[in-house]
Amino acid sequence: MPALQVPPVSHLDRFVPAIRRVETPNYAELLREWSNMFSQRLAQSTFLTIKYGLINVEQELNKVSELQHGWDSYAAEPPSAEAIGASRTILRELAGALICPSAIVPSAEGGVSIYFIKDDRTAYIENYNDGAQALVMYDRNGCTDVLEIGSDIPSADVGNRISRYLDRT
Amino acid sequence: MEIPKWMLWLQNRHYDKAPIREAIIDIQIDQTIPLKLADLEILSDRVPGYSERRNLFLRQVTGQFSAGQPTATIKQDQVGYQFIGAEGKQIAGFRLDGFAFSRLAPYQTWEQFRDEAKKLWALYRQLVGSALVTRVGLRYVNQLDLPMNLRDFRDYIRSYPEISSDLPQQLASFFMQVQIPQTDIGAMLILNTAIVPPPEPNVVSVVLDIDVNKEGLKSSSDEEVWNTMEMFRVRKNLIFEGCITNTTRELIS
Repeated sequence: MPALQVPPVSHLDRFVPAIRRVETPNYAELLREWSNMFSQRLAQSTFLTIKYGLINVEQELNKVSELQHGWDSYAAEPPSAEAIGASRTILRELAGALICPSAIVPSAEGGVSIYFIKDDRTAYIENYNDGAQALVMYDRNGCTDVLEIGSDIPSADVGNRISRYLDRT
Repeated sequence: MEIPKWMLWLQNRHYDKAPIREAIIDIQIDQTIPLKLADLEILSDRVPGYSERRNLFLRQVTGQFSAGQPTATIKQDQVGYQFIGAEGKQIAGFRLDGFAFSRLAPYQTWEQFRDEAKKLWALYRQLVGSALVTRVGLRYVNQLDLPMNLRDFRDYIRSYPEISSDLPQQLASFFMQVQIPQTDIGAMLILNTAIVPPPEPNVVSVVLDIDVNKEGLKSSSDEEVWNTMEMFRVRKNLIFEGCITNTTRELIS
């Protein structure tokens, strides 16, 4: 079989104006459309938004609950069973109030903080290692409000209070 | 859609343990009306029984998912307000491009749901004047909690992904979306079926998300909008009945 003759480069030059570079704009466009469609369908349904949000939150809380002593490479306590239990209970209350948190953060003293962040405002629920809870709200200007859950505010009202604080304009 | 006769008598059937987790009415308007967020804020004082107001955002992916050079970003714009009432069970959404009303479980009756939506729509209508309605949709999100020891999904649901018999039939998860034109009523059915995490052990939960909608409208008649909703409600019931089996009917009765 004779060797294949590669044409000289100059021979290809005449094709250059007609060469169509193959990219995938249609695929990329489709991906973007699907992404928007699914996120909009999810956002339209409060039930699904909260359901899927809660799944993520519970997964993160499970990970936090598995932390071992010294998880911060120093001597941090693992989150206590009381703090995890209190977190789980308040998260269900919050789902009932139709809000999901932004982050779950363990504390070095065995507590768990549940964060809600929006623009320059932050609210978090501190679940102490003995199961006590506080709601803390602060903004970039340094305005801070701290409420003991149970004595200053019933746990059933915490969700609405957080929403009102974060949505305040 | 040719409706089997046996389904007709089921279309108004009431289930004591109806699996409806959320019902949504959505009406979109022609965006040529110069509506601003400040206009929607006025509604805060006009929606009695909906004490909590939240900002409503639209998140959209913009840019491209191109290989090597990902330029996609998520854009978030405020598009309106949500007002929450009935202890978090009813949500009225007033957007720059339309209105939505959502009822979470426990769902009561179609009449109560529709009448509340009509009342809220009337408030929105006052703001947008004679704006044309461009899209109407009725969506019901159902969650069927099936026994964990089910032999086959086919015993309970009739719209789910069919797996080749040459493959193992055990499903850990699935998500299926089909869009089926409802040509006789000029609408589209968007049917999502998916396994979702169950509320308790020993059950398998399947979401049956039925959305009947009509786009490309140019209607200035509210009567036409609500007549369409009535038609969609009948169709939605038929679709639900068409998606379940007698075993499921027994389960939710």
